[in-house]
Amino acid sequence: MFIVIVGCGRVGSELAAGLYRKGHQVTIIDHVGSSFEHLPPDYRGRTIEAEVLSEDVLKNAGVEQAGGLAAVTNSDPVNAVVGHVARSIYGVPNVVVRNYDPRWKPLFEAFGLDMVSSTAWGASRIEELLERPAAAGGR
Amino acid sequence: MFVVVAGGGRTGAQLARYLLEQRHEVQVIEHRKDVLAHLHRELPTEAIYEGNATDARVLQGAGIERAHVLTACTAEDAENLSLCFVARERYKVPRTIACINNPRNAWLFDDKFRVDVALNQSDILAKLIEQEMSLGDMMTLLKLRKGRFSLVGEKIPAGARAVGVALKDLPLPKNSVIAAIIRGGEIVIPRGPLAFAADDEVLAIVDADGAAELARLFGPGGS
Repeated sequence: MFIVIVGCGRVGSELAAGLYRKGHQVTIIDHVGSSFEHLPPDYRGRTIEAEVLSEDVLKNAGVEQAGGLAAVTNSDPVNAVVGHVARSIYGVPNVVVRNYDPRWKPLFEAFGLDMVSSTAWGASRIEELLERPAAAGGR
Repeated sequence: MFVVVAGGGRTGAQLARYLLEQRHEVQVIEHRKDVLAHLHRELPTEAIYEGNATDARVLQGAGIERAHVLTACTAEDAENLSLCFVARERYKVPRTIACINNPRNAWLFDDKFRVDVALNQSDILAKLIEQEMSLGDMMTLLKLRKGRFSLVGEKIPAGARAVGVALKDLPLPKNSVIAAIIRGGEIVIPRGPLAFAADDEVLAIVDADGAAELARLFGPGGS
């Protein structure tokens, strides 16, 4: 599958590397060129240094042909806007966005986007492990 | 009208002050401490709502559900877009207005994000500056329709092309109309046979192209 990832921080680079190793075609976009240093040396997918909200950046990245897009920058508004544009304008069938600040959750819901709230999820999982250490599976 | 203004920076604060003067009800939402300190010096406390506009509870607390207009003028384009979308889709706000910070993002500010009116400040400013550069001594008195039309005024110098020419014979630009002539302190209604004289003050409504042509007719040199 061809997948576009927006944001090459810790989450984005990890995701790009993982998908690439599984044999997917990956393009990752970030507006700071040095962010691509997060990528492991064996990543051979495409990298694009650009402001993702500028006209034609997503289009030139080939988003219209993409089977999936992940918006995982550390800015909730940017993730929401990119996700909405990818789905409603470019018709990307599978769009997932990262929710960074839990306060933004209702706004993502208004857009109807699939989101992963890593902060909230991480906190509640840690809480669970602290309260019931016996329930901690998978260590 | 009840207007919710998201972002109390320069644009937001100025807008709020103006709306309050016009006796509208206003809530300016702002969370940055330094900006708030400044806001409190400019606006009455009851017009300020402390909190982050992207927080649903804050939006509701400020009264978004009964707002007639949402104006999104935060410093981040993606935030302004999201706010307009949420205001319409979730809170049924009838009118949304957003400021564009980066002109390269302008293509997003339309129905894609439920933006009714987009204000591209750098674009408006750039066009105004370009117009002013070409107008010589002609003065812009008023901008209409976001700067597309202007009310301009010029005192005709001796030697201008229009001096001694009747209004009906003057090759006026297409999108222009002479609104009034001030002669010797009196308003003269412009009619076809009336000939222009030096020291007449001409008031006209023109579009951007018309302004430059008008400046050539009424400006000095008359070439």
